[in-house]
Amino acid sequence: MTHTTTEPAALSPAPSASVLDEHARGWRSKLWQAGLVLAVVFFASWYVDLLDFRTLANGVPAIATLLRESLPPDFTNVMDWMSPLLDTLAMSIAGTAIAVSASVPLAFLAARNTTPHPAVFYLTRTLLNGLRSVPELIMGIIFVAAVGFGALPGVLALGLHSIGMVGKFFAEAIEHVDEAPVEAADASGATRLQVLWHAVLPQVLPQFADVSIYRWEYNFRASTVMGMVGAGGIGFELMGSLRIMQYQEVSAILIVILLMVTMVDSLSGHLRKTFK
Amino acid sequence: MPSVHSLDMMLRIEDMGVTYPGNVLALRPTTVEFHKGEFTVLLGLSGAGKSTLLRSLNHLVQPTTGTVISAEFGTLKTSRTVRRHRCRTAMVFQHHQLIERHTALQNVLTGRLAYHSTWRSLFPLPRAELEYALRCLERVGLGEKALSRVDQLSGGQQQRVGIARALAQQPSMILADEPVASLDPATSERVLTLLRDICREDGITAVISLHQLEYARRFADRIIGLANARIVFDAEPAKLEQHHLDEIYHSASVAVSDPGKTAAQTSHPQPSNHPTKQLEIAQ
Repeated sequence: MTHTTTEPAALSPAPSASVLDEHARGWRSKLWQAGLVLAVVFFASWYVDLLDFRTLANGVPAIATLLRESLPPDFTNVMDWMSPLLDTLAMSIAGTAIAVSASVPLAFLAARNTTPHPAVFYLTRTLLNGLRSVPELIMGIIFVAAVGFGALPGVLALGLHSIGMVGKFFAEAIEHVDEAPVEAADASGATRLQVLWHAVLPQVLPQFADVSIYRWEYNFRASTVMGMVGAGGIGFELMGSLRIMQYQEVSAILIVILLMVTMVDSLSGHLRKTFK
Repeated sequence: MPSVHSLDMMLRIEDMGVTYPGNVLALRPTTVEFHKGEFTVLLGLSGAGKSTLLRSLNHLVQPTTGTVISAEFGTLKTSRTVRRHRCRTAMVFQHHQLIERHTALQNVLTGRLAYHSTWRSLFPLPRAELEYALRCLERVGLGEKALSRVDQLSGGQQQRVGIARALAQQPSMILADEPVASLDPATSERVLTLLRDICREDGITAVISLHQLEYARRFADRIIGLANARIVFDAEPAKLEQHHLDEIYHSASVAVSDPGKTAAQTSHPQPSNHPTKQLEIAQ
């Protein structure tokens, strides 16, 4: 940097050639990487018979038949689905509420900067990972066995499974908090809990709201499936129609679900924007 | 309680030294006393140790050796004593350290936290507390901005909210860490004047770190000059002479030949034109 010459541009051909060589090498190595990814994708597809076009072709008529049988959608029982739809909506809200209220305290234990002890940190992180890795459908089956059919096992399953993701995201929001106001609160002689409540929580509330609303949206979609294992809601109706092969009714229910999901999505998008 | 201290002693540090992880010497063992109502300026380059000294006065930086003794609460030993000391020793920061998306009033209210139990502070504070916080804002001339979000205020206004938050603590002492370093000259003057006037009116002891000599001369009752992690000058501004300034502001070049590793040369390299500029003002 300090070395300066009077000649403005002393370009020698050798270094520029080596730069271009380097550039070409970079390009070749990228090509190699792309080829490798492609090979892995190809192998995986072959392994699951995706490349077995004859079987695929044989399946097309069956799907066509199924589609023909589901048309036109049969909405005669639409009024009977309103109550299960309401169940599904209530399940998603109650499940999310369980998840959020359990996640707030857990997140403070699972965030590096607020955890009381590294052991607590690892313990809560493991708990969150565990909850996240058991699918809600499996939890639904367990809770149906425990408390019987209906919306309640669905709520419990959605709530418990959601803690895994909501708690992790809350904890991450806490870890990214601006430490400056936290130090200021410390310097004013506030207790640890006062600092968390008055300097950390206000900063993460928008993210908490964002994650919660997104999770509610997800839970609504998930709760339509929960009915399949007997955990109440519109999924229960869907399974019923599928079992008796009323495909016209099945397609009608799917359309109703699609409408509801679209409504919930746009509402949640709207809510998340207001919390920004 | 320790041996000798004058009647109006507010805070005393005894053989207090700070070494940061990585064996970075930030402050050599130092003994110094701060007196009631005194407006003390810590003067020095970045990395000279003034921030470390200031922040150890309320144990925001944990001293490696020695002790901090408060006239009110004694030696800062237990976390309880430290909290009570911090409650009466308010702090003003360079980057104000407010919660940006809260209103000015909400931020000032955090200065009242230490006066309430943890449980009580989970709920909205009583109206009298809100009124007090609002009076603090009015005192720094921001009564009308009470309900504005802090991120919508100017830098000078934000720092005044920081001062109002400090006032809300009803402090006997204010520590200000480079309170005007990120403000323009006109705003800096206004903020420092405000700070000094309030401290005078309320008899608050102030310890302020600054790197601008001009401000130190104008506002301080007492200047403590730091260089190479130790105090090199401690007297009223009138006694500050050129050779003191040379020592305070040329420490960076001295430090290179110093075998003892100091924070001055490791953590905060100072632009070389900076001290020269300050000296021109002095002459």
